[in-house]
Amino acid sequence: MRTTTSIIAALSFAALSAAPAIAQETIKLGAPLALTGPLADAGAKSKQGYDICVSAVNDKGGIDVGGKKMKLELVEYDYQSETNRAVQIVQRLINVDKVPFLLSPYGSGDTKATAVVAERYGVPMVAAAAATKSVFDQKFQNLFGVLFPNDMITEAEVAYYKKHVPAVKRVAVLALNSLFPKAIAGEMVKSATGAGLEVVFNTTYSPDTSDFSNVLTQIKGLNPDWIYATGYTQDLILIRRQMADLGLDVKVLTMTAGPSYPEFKDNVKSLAENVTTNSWWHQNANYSDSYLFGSSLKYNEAFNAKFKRDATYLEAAATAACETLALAIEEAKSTSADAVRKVLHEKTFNTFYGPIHYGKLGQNEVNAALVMQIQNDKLLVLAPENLKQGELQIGVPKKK
Amino acid sequence: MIIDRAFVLKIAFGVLLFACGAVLSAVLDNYYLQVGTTLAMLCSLCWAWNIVGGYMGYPALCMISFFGIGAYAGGIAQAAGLPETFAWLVAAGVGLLFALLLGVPLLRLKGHYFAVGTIASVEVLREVANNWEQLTGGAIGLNLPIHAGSPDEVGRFFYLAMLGLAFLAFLITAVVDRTKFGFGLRCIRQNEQAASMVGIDVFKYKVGAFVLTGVLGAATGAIYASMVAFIEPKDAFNLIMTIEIPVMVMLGGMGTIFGPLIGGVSYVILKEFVWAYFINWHSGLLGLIVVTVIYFLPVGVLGLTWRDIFKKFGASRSTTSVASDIARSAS
Amino acid sequence: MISQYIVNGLLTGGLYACLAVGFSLVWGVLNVVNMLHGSMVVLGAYFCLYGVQQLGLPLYAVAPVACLILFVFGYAIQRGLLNRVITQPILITLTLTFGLDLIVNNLVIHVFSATPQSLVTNFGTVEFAGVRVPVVRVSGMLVAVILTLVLYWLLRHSKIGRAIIAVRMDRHAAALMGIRIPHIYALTFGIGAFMAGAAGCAMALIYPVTPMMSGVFLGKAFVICVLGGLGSVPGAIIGGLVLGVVEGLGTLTLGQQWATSVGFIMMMAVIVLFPTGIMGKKGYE
Repeated sequence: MRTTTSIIAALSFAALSAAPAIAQETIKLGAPLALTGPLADAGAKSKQGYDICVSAVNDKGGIDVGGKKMKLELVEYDYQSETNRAVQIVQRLINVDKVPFLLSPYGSGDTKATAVVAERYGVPMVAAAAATKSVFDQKFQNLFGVLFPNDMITEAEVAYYKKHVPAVKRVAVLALNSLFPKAIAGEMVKSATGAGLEVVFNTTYSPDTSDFSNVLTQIKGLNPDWIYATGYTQDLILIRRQMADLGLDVKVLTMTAGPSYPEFKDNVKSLAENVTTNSWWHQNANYSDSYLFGSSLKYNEAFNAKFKRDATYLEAAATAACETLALAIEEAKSTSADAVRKVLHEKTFNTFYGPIHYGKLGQNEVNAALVMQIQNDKLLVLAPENLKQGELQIGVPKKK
Repeated sequence: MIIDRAFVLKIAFGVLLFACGAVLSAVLDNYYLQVGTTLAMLCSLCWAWNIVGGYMGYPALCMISFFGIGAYAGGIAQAAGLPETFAWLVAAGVGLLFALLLGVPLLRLKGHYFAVGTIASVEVLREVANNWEQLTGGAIGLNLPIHAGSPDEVGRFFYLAMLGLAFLAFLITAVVDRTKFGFGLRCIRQNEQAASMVGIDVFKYKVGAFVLTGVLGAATGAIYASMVAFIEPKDAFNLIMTIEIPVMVMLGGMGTIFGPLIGGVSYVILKEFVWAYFINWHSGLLGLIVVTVIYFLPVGVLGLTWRDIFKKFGASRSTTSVASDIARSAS
Repeated sequence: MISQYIVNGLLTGGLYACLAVGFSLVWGVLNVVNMLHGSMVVLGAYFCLYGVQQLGLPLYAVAPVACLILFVFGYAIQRGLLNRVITQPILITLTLTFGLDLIVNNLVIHVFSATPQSLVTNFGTVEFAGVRVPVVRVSGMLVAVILTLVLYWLLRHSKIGRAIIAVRMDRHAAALMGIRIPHIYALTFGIGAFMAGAAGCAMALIYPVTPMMSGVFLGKAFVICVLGGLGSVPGAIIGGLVLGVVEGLGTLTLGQQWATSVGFIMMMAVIVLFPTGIMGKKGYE
């Protein structure tokens, strides 16, 4: 009985039905999204960025491919914040949905793993959320990164604070032990030491840390002038609160990348005052864009109208990733991977996101690093000079 | 080793199945090859777990510890220049050592403590991988040399590699099932003290089973790492998978030769179906599937007899008033 | 300065104790590893957030209601689902609660979204003997500890409490004594859920709440239970405090990146060396 059962049972291999592709004239963009799992928040935001681009392009009638108008279509799947899932989805997008172009998953590690697949099949993939140089270190020809490298950000920051707060001499660095936060903290240490600052403290904390009071007590004892903290928004919220609890005072407090998002202010309220951060983009940079939206401010308006809040660099980069693909297709007058890839490597795209030049290595080479600070509940640009909206306010409030 | 007709039939069927799988590699397109590779990977993990969890009845939740260790061992070996297949063997060896290291202290414990100890090992290993940068690359991850060749060739290569490993796992399971070793494991599952009284060297058997599981798990991880060409701690030590594997085996039937295969395949099909059509709710629906499997099918597909299927709904009532049964049976 | 570290550790530890006591009780009495525990804590936190932020009610009104809702939830789950598999081996019950956890987690993400949210309070800090202590953390810890002590007292002195302990000691004998086992089981699970909810409310005061916190809390609960001994309320308190302090000292000596794994390594060591925990068998009640 058991033998027959096992044979019969083992024989019933159900066919895995693949969702048939819609047979229409659209250009498909494959998008693995983290809609569940730890990256769910960021994944949802990326999706919003992609969606607004696709609808803006389609509202214009679509992309002009050598005279023929073709609409954009986003083909998305949830990879549950799991890397092996993301790799599988990219395989599926390429083999079953037959997408000609890909948008990378959120996060440096997942981008890297899926880039291996994209490279193997020769499908161009644009990454909207990977800034760490190590993601691009495998010399892939098919990986393009909208965010310029981390060291451009840290160099800009160090230069700015050194100039405006000459009293800053001692730096404490606290980084989340995950690819991007750790990498940018590493660049910070390099930039700071290079500029003659003393890095008195340099530690990483593990992702499940629920209490920073001890490491902050250590930092307090070292009396730094500048604290540079990286991590996910909830970590930064906790760090800021516990700093106030412990009475940790500094001249400059920089956090990456939490303060860029509205939920940071919502969660720490008045403690957000004077927290500095950096960004790859802000709507006040007001780049002009002749293809979509018109300008950074207009993009933000459109985003606000649709999603009821301001866009941060995360959503904007996602939109820019999609937009550069659209522009490249138009310039190449074809959807063939080789033609589009060539354009992507060579052209400088002038978008609402700023000028984007992928260059030979694939990562955006244009340095548009922004130094920012929260003042009176608003996020203001402090540098570069031509985009400046305010002056640096030194020190962070002690009491809540 | 007991070789009877049923056994020969099973082995023959298994060989046939795998042979078909191998032949299919020539005709399947890349997506199905990928699915097949993942399926083979999960099945070999299921077979591996089945030895310690199914036959021996020890709730080992450290499958992912072995998988991750194998992935990193293979990855580090390859990054250091060793050829691929050799790196896989090294990984299997590391898996063996680790199974000994983990097994000897933990196998003295029973039930809960053993399970919790194994879960803890996954957490500890992930943090070690995260922090020991010089060896593992830390949070930045580890680059592996990319297997050269066209997508078709690479897809086929890894498909066959995983299939081969799954076949090995199948054979080992079949042999374990019919030898004194398997018999000993079953005795241990039923009653450890009685088993030792019957003359089975319980500790040796336990460690042996654990080591088998470890070696197979580590080898699977190594092949996975080579396939993906980039590993990072959160990917190699994925906590959810460590519970999914026992669920798959439970679904198919613990302590059987084909149980892991059926369970693995069914679970993957269910998961694909749920994931394709319920994109926002898939993790919740998977949870529902797990609950349903446990609740209605605790002995797995292979444990059912035809009578059971019809009796199942009536049976629920009788198997489920257990709490009141205790009261009743005691009075 | 070392006093600041120790105080930090104790403050966290008190919260941890409340976090773990429900888990420990369920594990000790019911023999069920409740993978749902972390999600229940998070649910408690979200209920408090909802009540305070959306309904505008004061926290001291919302928190007890949240805890009661969780109590009912826990009771229902145990009575409805878990009682039926209660005698099955650990793997079955663990996987069942794990499946339930997946469902609850998915629901939480959909209903409350994954963006971090907090209860922002303004109680300031207190300083004594060179040690700074935020008032809200002290109150959170005090509430947690008081609740735990109340539970301990209830277990020892109320009829229901003695019934629970009796079931933990010997299931069959307890049944012979006329104790309604299914009800006691459900009650225990409900109490576990209640305590989880209370811990959640305390957490909402201190941490930004996200659905992913459930995994972190569950991990801590595991470690504390093993340290303190299963089913033991004083064990949970001691285990929580020990974990808090050890994590703090781990930060000092090994660096913050090892602070959380120190807990797990300690847990493995304790499992291997003294499986019944620091309190040993004596920490029965």
